[in-house]
Amino acid sequence: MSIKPLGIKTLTIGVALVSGIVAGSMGFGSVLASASNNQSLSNGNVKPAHIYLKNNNGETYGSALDASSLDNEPNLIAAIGEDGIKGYVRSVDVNGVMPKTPEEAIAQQNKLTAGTAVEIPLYDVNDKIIGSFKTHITKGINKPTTSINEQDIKDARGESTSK
Amino acid sequence: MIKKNLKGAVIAFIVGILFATSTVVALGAEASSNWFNFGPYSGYSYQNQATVYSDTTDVFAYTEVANQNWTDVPVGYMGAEARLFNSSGYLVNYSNMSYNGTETGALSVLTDSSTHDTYYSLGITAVYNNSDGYYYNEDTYMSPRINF
Repeated sequence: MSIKPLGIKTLTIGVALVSGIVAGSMGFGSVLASASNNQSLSNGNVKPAHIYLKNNNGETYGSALDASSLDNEPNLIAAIGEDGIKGYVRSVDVNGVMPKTPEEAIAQQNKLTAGTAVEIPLYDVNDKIIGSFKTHITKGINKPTTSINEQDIKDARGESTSK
Repeated sequence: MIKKNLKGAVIAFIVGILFATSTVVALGAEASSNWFNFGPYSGYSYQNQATVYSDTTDVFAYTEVANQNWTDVPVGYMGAEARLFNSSGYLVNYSNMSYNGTETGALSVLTDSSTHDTYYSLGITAVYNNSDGYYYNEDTYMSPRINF
């Protein structure tokens, strides 16, 4: 029994197509995997405290990604503001004030409305305001990330009521 | 004949790769850091994790903090803030610190969506220690980067 030329051609193309799909899927996975292998170097909890440069006012500045912990964050965090302007935002503007008790934490949180715009100043390295950084209030979701659905995300962003 | 078959096979192979990669993008992609374990505080041992997520219209960062055994902790004991950075280390988006408003075993907080770039996520979590009455902060590990 012999295989017809059309059969061989179909088989070859089929195998190649499946191989391509497998290769494409594996290629994407390996990108994530290779990135994942580097993450232990980025552990904010074990790497040594970063020495930040200081501006004319004696304040530290740089990327918050380099900080070993929240305590080690620079006073001025490198950020991209409105219209793509590169500058710095104040750490205290980003982090706010830490509550002292769970009751205070919830009281602070209840004053916030999801979806409300927040605008903080964007500075140059020596504290001159050069623009603004905008974001929106989001609400926490009381479940694991793996259980979150689209509605949860809309609720967290305050989008449910506007639609 | 062999040349013709080879040409067809190469085209099919490329089509297969394109199909596979476009499907992944359409379904969305995410990259998460390893879990970081810490505690105990108030008798609870915690873990946190940073994730960056993207699909065809959206990219944002998640931070999750959870009781390691996933059982509920009291209201306000867990807090999380999500941050999204670009590949140059610039802060692109951040969320306010949010606390668990109900008794729960896990809390997730996300940022606003952002535009096209390459991103990392690194979050900050806070947990309450009732023995000394303070909140303690713990950073997550940094997530792998994701292209959007």
